[in-house]
Amino acid sequence: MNAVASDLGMNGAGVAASNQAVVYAGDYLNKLAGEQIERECRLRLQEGCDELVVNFSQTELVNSIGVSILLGIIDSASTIGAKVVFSDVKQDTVDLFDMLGVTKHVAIRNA
Amino acid sequence: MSRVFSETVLIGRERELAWLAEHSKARSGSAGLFFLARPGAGATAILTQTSDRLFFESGEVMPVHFAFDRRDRNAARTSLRFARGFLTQAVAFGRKDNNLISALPTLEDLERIASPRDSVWLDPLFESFRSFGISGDSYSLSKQCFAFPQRAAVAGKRIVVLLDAVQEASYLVDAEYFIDDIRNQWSGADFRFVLSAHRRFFGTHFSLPRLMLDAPSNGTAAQITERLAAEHRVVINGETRDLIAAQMKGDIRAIDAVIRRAAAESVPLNSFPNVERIYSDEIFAGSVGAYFDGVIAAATPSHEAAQSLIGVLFDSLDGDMLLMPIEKWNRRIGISPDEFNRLLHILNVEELIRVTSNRVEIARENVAFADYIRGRFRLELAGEARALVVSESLAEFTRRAPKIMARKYRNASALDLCALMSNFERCTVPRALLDYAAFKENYKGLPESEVSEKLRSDDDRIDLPSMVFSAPSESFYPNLRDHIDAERSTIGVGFQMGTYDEKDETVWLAAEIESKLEATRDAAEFWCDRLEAAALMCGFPNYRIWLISPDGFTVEALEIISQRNGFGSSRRQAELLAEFLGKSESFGRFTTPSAEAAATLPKTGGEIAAGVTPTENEYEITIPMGEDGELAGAKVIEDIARSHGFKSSVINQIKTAVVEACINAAEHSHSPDKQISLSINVSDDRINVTVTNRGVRLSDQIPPDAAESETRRGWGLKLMQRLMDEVRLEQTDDGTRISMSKLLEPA
Repeated sequence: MNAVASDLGMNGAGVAASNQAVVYAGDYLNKLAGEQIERECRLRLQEGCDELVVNFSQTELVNSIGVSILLGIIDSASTIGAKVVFSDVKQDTVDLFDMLGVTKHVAIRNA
Repeated sequence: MSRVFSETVLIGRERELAWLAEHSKARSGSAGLFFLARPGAGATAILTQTSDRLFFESGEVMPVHFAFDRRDRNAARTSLRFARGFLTQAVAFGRKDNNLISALPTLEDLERIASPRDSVWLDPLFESFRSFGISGDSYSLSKQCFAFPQRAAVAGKRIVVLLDAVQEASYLVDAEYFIDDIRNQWSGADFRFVLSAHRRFFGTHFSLPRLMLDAPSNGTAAQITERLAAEHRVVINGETRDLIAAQMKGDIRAIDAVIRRAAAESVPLNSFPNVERIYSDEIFAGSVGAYFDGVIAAATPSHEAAQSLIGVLFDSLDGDMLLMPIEKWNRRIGISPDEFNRLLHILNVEELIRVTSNRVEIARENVAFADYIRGRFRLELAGEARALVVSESLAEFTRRAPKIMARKYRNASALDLCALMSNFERCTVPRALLDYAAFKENYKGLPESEVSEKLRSDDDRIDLPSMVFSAPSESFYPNLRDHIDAERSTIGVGFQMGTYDEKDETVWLAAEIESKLEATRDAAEFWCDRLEAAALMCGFPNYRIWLISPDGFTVEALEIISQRNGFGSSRRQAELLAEFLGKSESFGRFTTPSAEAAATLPKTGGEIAAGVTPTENEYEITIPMGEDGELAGAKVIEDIARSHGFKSSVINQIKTAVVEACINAAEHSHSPDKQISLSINVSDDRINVTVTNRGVRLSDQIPPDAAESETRRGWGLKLMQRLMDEVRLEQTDDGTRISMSKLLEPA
């Protein structure tokens, strides 16, 4: 249910357009899912990724602990100059991120 | 003691009953058995039940139950009462008529109605009894009376004598060696016997096998409380039941007193204030206070000495006089050495004081005794007005009640560091099980299934010492009790390499600290300072600090801990360490119930045996804490809200708010039942959701330090307030209730 997956972003030519990684959040962003995302992001950053995309297309519900962990990821990325983007975020979740001030620190990119 | 009371007290005592029955019927092995009980643990009820069962089995073994009683005043009366009781119970057993015992027949009646086959061996005993005189030699009289069982055994009877409340012999005037004489007389006996007393009474004389009886466990004490309340038709709920069991520390005598008074005064025990009101009445004017009055009166030779004792006990409760030298006690009370020794013995046997290394300490953990001493001091020595003392005491008891429960919940969820450290045994374990930095880098966020395997193959290891002794830190360094519960900090003494010389000695000072996020540098520094002070004051040359925080430590905090030669771990690491050492079954963990929420009828918060029938548009469900139980609750609310026409976006807001309320309960309450109660009510214009849980109330939780409160946790309440139209946070007696409302906007 809270599976986290990631892949490296590739353009049509099979060459990485940027050093980008996509991490997929599951349907419920709680503490456990947050820690899994955090781990994936840390590994990708260690591999040299400079843009982390967290994909929320499957995420229906988020709790404050999960959000807290996301902010930690944003902090860690920014200290090494990497960028974090949230993609395919449902409007309810965008509103929640807005309430907690997350949207000030991260770009939201919806298809 | 009524049979109903006895049976209730017997909950959880099957082992002891079986043991006593087996001893009673055995034909070999030691004839005697010590049955040593903590005061108030219910030993008399167990012996009474043993006697009754043997009687009604109609088997060969004749039970004789005799309880010592200080009202006999001297050994001679006690001995005669024993002999008389022996004869009565023998005749009753022969006639299979238990009612005879309570009928108090005369000696002539007994002789007349004894069954013919028993007359053969009973007649000589009747004759002997008639020849006894109180004015004669007490020692000889006692020997003759307590020879009755042996005379019956020689005549072929199988007998078990259950001597109960033997510690009451301390109060007899001429009975210094009374019990020793009986024990000596019965050594080599041809009958079985049990000597039952408070567990400190016999000191270190353990010439017989021992059966120990401690206070019932928390759970058993709660069951006993609930059943006693039902028997006396006293209304009680889960919260007050647990408060009574916890506050009385499982003392069945005290629990029974509170329940009976509530029944007599028709006071429902359905709130903490009501419980404390009844408790206060028992301390100041009831059997609990009377019990302590009796002990002090019996232990002291005069009223003046009793007053002096109250003063010394009061001073021992607080501040710098926790441990007082015996000589100081003696000087302040001002009685003869023999009287003083007797006083110490009586108070020690009743477990109201402890005497160690020539110092005396009041048993502060005995809440009722401490409250009694404070009250009596204020009334009799300070001369304060009774109304003032009682009212202030009641207010204090009421304020304290949630704190008693909060401590109970915190301790129930505490890691058992003593047990964990005892299992170190010089093992080599992955560093990641102790060092949070290593754990965070390599293990945090991994699926559970991968963690164990990775740990097994992890080469980065450290050696644990072999611990020879571990105990709560406050028993080494009492000052620590001001900062942390006893169960959350442990000191272990051991050897690192196994060479067992002075250089090999090591001491670990461990503390399980509270923190909402990764514990900060300030918190780490604070605790390192406290534990280092303990190490310094105890004179430990080689020591290591081990701090455990629920979510680990920040990088800065870990630097501090490392500089102080310590480890900083998360709770998860400690749990994994216990599993790794193969001892997790003995480790203090709670289990979370299945995540599939049961939409059940109400369980928590209501009176036991009362039910609530949901009316139309009212719903109540109970969900488990943890394991994403809050999702189940959110789903139910989604279905309800959708059926009443709420818009999807609004439904999502309500779900998020409810999830926040639930995880707030799960994270911080240390709930005893790991359940959350959701009550949903839909009216014409709004939906009301109430989330209730038992456990540490928000106001009793350890406040986060300033750094934490400025950052990211604690957002839950803020979110609820932003998402819902009304939010109200209430502290109940024993937990938290969050009530939220959302106005209806048509879909």
